[in-house]
Amino acid sequence: MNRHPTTDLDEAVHQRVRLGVLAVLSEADRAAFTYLRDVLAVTDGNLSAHVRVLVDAGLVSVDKGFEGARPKTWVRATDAGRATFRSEIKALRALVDQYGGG
Amino acid sequence: MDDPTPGELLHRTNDAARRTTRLVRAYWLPQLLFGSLSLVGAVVALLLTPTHVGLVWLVGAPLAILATAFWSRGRSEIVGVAPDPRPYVIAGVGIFTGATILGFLGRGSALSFVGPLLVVAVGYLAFSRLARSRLLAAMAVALAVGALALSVSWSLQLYSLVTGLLGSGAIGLGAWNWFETARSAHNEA
Repeated sequence: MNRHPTTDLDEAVHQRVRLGVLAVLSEADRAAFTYLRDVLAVTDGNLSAHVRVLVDAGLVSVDKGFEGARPKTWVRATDAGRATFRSEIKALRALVDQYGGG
Repeated sequence: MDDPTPGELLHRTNDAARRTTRLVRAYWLPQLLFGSLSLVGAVVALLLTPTHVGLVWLVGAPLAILATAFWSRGRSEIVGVAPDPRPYVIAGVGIFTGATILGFLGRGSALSFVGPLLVVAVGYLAFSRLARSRLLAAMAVALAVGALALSVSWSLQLYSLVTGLLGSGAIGLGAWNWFETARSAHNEA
């Protein structure tokens, strides 16, 4: 029996901002916190909360450093994060194929 | 708003990924540098000797690679998104090593010019995959055709013509990529 596509959705990833973070990191080695905030059009606090969820799930890691005297935070996808993103996109496409774009 | 449909979620996700891809895959500086180097090599081939052409590349290529590495690193800090440098480093070192070895092995024959051109063509193919650029893939084909033409009918004048044309093409490609990258950044500002 075919599994329903929703069974392949990941609770930690199936959210606009968190999926956006992983989408950006699927195209890059690392992204600055400020870049993610701007490209995903969210506030610092909102992004922090979502990044924390991804860190706790082992899907991204965070490196804090400095650019000159200013602190700079970089976010990087783990191997598990990249794999989970690919699987989430596959599940979403299956849903869209089955039920239309919505 | 917090509960988009799968279609909307996919669309937004693709949009964020596309914007990042455009920033991460910028390649205008290496194209301008290597295109210029190619033009200098073409002029030197006409005015001086094959040894001088080899020297232009032996000195110029490592400098261009270093400049590209610094540019890429600095750019990542500015735009806030960085590509994985490993495949680029492997491709760059592979091209330089392969081209240098063939250049030395073929000393005194057409191989010392045709061999490196073929290696660079393979390198362009690798970069076209990394940057997902059809234009870079087209350059790879142009380089391979140029190398083939030189292997059939070798002369220093033809080498100068071929590398002059390819160098101009690379500079044009670099200028186009710079324009596209600047336009994307402007639209997103």
